[in-house]
Amino acid sequence: MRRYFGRKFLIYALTFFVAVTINFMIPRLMPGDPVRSMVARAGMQTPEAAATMQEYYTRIFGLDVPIWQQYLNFWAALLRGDLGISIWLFPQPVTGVIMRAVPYTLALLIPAILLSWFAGNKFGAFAARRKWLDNTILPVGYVLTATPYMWLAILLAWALGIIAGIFPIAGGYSFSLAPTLSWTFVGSLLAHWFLPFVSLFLVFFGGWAIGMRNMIIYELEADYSHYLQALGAPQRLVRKYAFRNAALPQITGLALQLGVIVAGAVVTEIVFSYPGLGHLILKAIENQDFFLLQGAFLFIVIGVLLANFIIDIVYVLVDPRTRTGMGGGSA
Amino acid sequence: MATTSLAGKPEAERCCTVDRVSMVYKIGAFGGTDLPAVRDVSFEVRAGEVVSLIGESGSGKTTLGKMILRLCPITGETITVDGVDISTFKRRRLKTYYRSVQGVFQDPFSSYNPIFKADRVFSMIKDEYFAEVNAAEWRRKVAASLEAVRLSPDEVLNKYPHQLSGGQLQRILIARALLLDIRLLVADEIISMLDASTRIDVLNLLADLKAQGLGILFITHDLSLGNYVSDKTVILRRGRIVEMGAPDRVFGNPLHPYTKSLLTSVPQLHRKWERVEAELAAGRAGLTGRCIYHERYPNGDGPVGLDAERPTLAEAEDDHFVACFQADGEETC
Amino acid sequence: MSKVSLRVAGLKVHYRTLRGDVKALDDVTFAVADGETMGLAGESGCGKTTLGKSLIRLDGRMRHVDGTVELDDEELPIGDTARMNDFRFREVFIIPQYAMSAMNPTRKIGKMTKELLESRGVRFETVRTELKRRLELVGLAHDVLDRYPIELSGGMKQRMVMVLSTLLNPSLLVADEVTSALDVSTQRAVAETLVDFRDRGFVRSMIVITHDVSLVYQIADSIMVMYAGKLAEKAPTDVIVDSPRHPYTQLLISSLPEVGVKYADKRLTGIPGSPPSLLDPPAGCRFRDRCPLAFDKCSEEPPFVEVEHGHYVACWKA
Repeated sequence: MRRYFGRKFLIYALTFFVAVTINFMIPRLMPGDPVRSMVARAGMQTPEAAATMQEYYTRIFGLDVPIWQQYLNFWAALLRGDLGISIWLFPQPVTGVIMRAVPYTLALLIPAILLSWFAGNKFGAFAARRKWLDNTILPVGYVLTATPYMWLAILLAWALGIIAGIFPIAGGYSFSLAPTLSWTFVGSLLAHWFLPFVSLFLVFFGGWAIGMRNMIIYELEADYSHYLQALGAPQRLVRKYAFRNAALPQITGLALQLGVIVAGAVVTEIVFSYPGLGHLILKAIENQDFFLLQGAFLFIVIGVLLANFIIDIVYVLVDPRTRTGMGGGSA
Repeated sequence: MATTSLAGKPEAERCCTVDRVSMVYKIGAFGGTDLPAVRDVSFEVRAGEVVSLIGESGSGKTTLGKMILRLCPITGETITVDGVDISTFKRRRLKTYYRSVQGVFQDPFSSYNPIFKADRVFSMIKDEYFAEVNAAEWRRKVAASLEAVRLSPDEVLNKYPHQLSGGQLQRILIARALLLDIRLLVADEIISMLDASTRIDVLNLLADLKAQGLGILFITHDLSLGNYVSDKTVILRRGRIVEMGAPDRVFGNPLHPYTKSLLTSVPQLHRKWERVEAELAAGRAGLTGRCIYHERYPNGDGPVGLDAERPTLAEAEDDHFVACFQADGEETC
Repeated sequence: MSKVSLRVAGLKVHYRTLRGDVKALDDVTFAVADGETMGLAGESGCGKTTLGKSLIRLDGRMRHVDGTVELDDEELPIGDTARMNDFRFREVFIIPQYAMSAMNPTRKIGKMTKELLESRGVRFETVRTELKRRLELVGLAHDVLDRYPIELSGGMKQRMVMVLSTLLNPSLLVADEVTSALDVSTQRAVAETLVDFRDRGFVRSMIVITHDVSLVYQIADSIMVMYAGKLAEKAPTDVIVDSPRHPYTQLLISSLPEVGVKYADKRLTGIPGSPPSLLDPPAGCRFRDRCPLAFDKCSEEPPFVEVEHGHYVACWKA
């Protein structure tokens, strides 16, 4: 068991290393020079002043050393928790900027993932029992899961925000409020949170419901289900076993889907101008903000790896078959 | 005295010689545990001879077949076919090798791609080996080899696998192998999925092919099938040969306790288990508490087979070899 | 042996397929006496598995068309899957072909047994001692109940399922190809356990379905041979093996290689041809096309009649 997790941990560490390296390279391979555009925005009159300013910024951001040096510096700073200084929000440190955005993203993602997973599985299993439900739910599920995130988001914003006017369509809280711990502020947070949450929830939900429906039909046709039925066991017990076993591949599915899910969240945040990481990434790209972009990606990578690791552990705990495999098998 | 059975046999007759090969599988999540699948096995298949490799699951019989077919690496000593060591063959040489050695496996249905017609197996052979043969001549060649396995071309050509019976599919695979002028056929459980009434036809076919000079390694778990066509019987247990020799010696006078237990377990027609057991017990009365192998090689204390100088089998009578009765090799006897 | 335990009369079961109904069982009539172990033999597609399933649980594509099944003078509602539940497990039970995968892989065996029993209204505590006694009988340690199915070997799973299946002492046990996936040495142990269970009264009568005639020869009192959805012959075991009357049985038995029989001494032959399609089976005797003895009368269907005491044959020449 310890060996198993040791091995897993090694694989995650390696993935992390590769991810960080790619993360370091990508913004530097992007076209355009961020410092020059910053200088241009400052609107310096004389070329000398512009040159001085360019030199100053280049030094501050550590861009004056060779690329391998930049890479090593990047790791050294990373291990200290220092992600550099944002170009867009100069001179705020990237870590601070991201830390302000992360709670919004987590508040959106965690409930959307967990609720859609539970609800989708329950619903899929329920639908598989009844022909008419199966016939109506299945197409709806396919439509939902095939819907592009931003399209559903725009549709919801238009219908519930603009036409019905029930929910606000942009921002994390009302622009007229300052962050305080008051009921009005919390209410405003919730109202702004609702639409992005629902649009993510619906798309995920469709996917899980279809997956579960297919898995449970497979499990109900498995030998052990037939055996239980031949023993005259009530449908309740047969379904209970089938549901449990069908949920196992869904856990793996969750691990595989995490990356896609996060990508969906990024797009949805952009549509609703929700102040999470996705919104930040958009701004960072618009402003060619290397460090912010790197920081935001890094957080996403860490988040996805961490979530995958947790899922790995959960899977081992719920499925006895993986545990036997680790012991070398007893034939 | 490397391979016990080779003593005094002319080299020309030998078709395939397996000399002290072993195989260890790594099992467990990260290959932590060793599972020896084949341990120090030596035997030979001569031209015009059917050798039955009999064993239960985990005996290593399939692994041995795969080694001869180069489907898994050969470890331990060597396997030679027609006097040439086959373990080092690479691409080109391996392709030539497959001209003379072919295999047929247990499940006829999964040997075919269900979306193509069954006779595609012939055109694949043509593309690989006989690209220069013209179409009319090729058709004649296919018809001849189908005839050799007693199928009529009209019956089986241009059909999809699901339109043919298991017996027909297996025979098509044998016909495919025959197109290549093979010298050795590895038949791994080829009839265990067929119905009783068609099984025997495939067995008879093997016997006919052997009469034409083909060497056949017939791998099976079923003693009664192994006995019907074979000239030599090799009984494997947990990767080791426990008994080997002419079928009437091995089955008529089983020496090793494992062979005896197999014989008392296999259901036979016309003879009930109790009767078989009583007969064998009477035949083995003089063997209780003895080990023929160690009577022949009294100095062998350690596990059998580790000593290269010492054969793994002792010759108990003419053409009848037996391993140490404690043949697991974990303990001495 | 005189009291009849199972009586099947005129049973017809069809399989629904896209190309129409496959007449998997056609007019099957036979009886199994109290305490009898009947071997049911035949080649693949002859209807033996369908017959076994009909006695316990028809699967989704099977349709009960006609005929009755009586167990201990009580009619089994085989077409009604809900009402059959009262009989399953308590009165009639099947040890399935797939015993290797019959247990839920993610539940400990003991827990599964408990949940199963309690769902049938049996307190686990009341059978716990008996369960342990029977585990000992088949050579399983008590701690298998704390293990997952994957931790057991094939033979152990098979024995566990046998114990589980017979726990409530059913009147009739249907064992479907229980030994075909096992090694020779385990095979014998499992077959003998079946006999032992009957001798101890855990089950009263048994139907052992197999493609291997030599296996049922070892353990059965009588053997029934099926061909293409119909009964061909039923007789006491020795009679079937030594002096079969139906040409199909004769050919089948003579095509089996035995230990000691060598190709060089005695060339055995198979049965030429293949069984008819059951989508639209031919009228008359279904073995007619492959039968060396076929004559004009075979275009009429031969009845399954008793030609000697306990020996039934469906052949005009018998």
